[in-house]
Amino acid sequence: MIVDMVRVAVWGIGSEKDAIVEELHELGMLHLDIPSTPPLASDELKGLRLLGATILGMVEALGWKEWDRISDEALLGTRGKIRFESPEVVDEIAKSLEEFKRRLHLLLEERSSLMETLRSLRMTHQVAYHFQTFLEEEVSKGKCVSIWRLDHKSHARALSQLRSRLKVVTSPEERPCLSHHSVQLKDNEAILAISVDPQGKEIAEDFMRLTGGMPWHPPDETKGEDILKSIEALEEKFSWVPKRLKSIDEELERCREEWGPHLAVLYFLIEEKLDQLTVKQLAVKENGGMFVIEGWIPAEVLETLTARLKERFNGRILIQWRYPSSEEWHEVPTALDNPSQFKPFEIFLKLLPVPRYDEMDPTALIAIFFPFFAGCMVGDIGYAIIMGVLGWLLRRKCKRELWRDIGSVIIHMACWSAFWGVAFGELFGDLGHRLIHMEPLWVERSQAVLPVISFSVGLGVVHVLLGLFVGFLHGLRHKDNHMWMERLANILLITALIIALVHVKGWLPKSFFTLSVSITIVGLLLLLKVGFLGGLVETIGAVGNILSYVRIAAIGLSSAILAVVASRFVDALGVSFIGIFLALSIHLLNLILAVAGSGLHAARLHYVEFLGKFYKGGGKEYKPFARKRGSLVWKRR
Amino acid sequence: MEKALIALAAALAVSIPALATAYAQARIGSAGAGTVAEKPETAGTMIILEAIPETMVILGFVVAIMLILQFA
Repeated sequence: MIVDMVRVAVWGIGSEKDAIVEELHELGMLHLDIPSTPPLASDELKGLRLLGATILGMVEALGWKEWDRISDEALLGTRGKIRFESPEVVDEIAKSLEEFKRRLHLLLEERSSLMETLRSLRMTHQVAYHFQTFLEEEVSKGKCVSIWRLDHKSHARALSQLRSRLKVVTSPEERPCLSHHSVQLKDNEAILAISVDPQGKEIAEDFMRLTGGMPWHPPDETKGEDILKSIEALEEKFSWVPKRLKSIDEELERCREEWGPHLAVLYFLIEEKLDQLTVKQLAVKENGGMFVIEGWIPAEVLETLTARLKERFNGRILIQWRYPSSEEWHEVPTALDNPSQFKPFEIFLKLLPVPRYDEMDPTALIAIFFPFFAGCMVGDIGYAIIMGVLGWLLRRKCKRELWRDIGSVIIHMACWSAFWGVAFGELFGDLGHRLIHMEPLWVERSQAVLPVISFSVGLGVVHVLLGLFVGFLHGLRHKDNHMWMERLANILLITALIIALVHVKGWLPKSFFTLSVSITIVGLLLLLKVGFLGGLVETIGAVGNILSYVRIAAIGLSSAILAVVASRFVDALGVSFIGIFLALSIHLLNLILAVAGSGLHAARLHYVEFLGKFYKGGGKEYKPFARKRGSLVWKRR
Repeated sequence: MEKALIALAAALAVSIPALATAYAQARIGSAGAGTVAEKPETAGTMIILEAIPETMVILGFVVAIMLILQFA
């Protein structure tokens, strides 16, 4: 249900403004109407924002992400020690962080430069390793070796032309000396090593340059007297860089562990202070020596708020409150408060716009119908037990509220799955029947398909009519004539259609046909009143929505058949390892499909078929002006 | 022969909507992946949208079952 809210105005004297704002911040109950326009930035705000951004940058540079680990105690402890009362405090903190920031910057710079070096060394090492033997052999023969980078397509022609050129410096009796070795790189590039006699060195180098070749050198830091010496230096550097990178990573890890939580706490506190300053600037109205701060709070905590404020400020504060008028409903923030067994189902509303204050909270209806539909689709005692264990584990082991809520929803689904499992007589398919002669209480759904289909369509009729009825009530409550008339017309036409169908089957006396026609006429007249065509389309859509509930039977049937197929593997292959393994694999697949499919389709039935009949959304979420709590799920802005 | 035709009709009742569903889900899936990459908070909505075209194949499946039960 949606919590009743009251408008509260807190009046005080200007000298106590800071203390009252801080107390309201501590209480964390008041939702303030802060305009979306950004506040005018004072020097104090600018300094704090800069410090906050610097700290956030440092946290991100450190790679620390465990925001959920910040405990309330850590926040409370630091809050008592650091107070951002003046720009001098902010400057002092910024200065004290400067040394660490510089050290972190240097470490990260070195790391990034070493990574770049390692990448280039890796390429160079690859080339050097390839040519090393060739170079050693040729140098030992007293030849001059040079390495060139050139286009792969032209390197064969270049070699033959170079051979012709070298004839000039070679006596006619002997063949020109030219040895070469090449390797192709990607992008049509090749590295070519050529070895010539010392007298041909200059000719070879000039020619290679003319043909577009670029001399290849090892990186500067590994340059030696000759290429072979450079390769040695390269090997040494290649083994040193990863070691240095490892030591930098270890140092960063130490910094992350040591500084990450402290910086995060500091960032939380800066955000809190910024919130307070923003509130003082935008939400507090001053009039002479007085000020007033207004906002919304849940009616149930009004007494606590007034008692705490009066206790602290005694007669120096005036608190006024009133319930919102109907003209104000669109401004009132929405807070949900449901019984503990329904609360986990509030997650379904997180995918929709926030409900408006004057709207109905559908959480209770979702909590009733969602597990019922999903359980009907799964309908197996064995799967229900596994789902129950899974849900229990999620609730017990997960820290995040979202996963615990999902765990609770799965437990509800498991309960209804067990109920339907008894009705359909299923325990891991037909295993229950084989082992303990389990019989269905209602029908065996793989055999009696039509009754299950009819039942699921019946569920659709009830669910869709309920949605339309809620929409009708909503229209009446808000004096929205179009809405209530259209929903009523839909209800009447669907009822008339059902009566007519039942009459055709011969299950009702003839007089009911007249009743059906009368209801249809009333429904059509109402549709004429609200715009005939649109209303008629809506009615046809609602009939389509009802038929959509047939998926409950269809998905359930496919799940039941798959479970039976799994057991048949043991029949076909005997009680062997392969037979049992295949049976378990199919059951596991079926279980995953059953949990995911039933949840997804039951959710879809709610979002599309049910909530579409009355839910509009577009409200404001209740966000009290509160301190950051480590226990709250908090998202960085 | 009659049974073969009924079986063929049932197979078509499932397979044609299945192809249409697959096509629709592929299009929704690629658009959804792009949306989730930009706004991760829309992941839940995208999963629901992905399930919407399945209505076609589910209704096709039911029609196939009805065909087999009524005529086979």
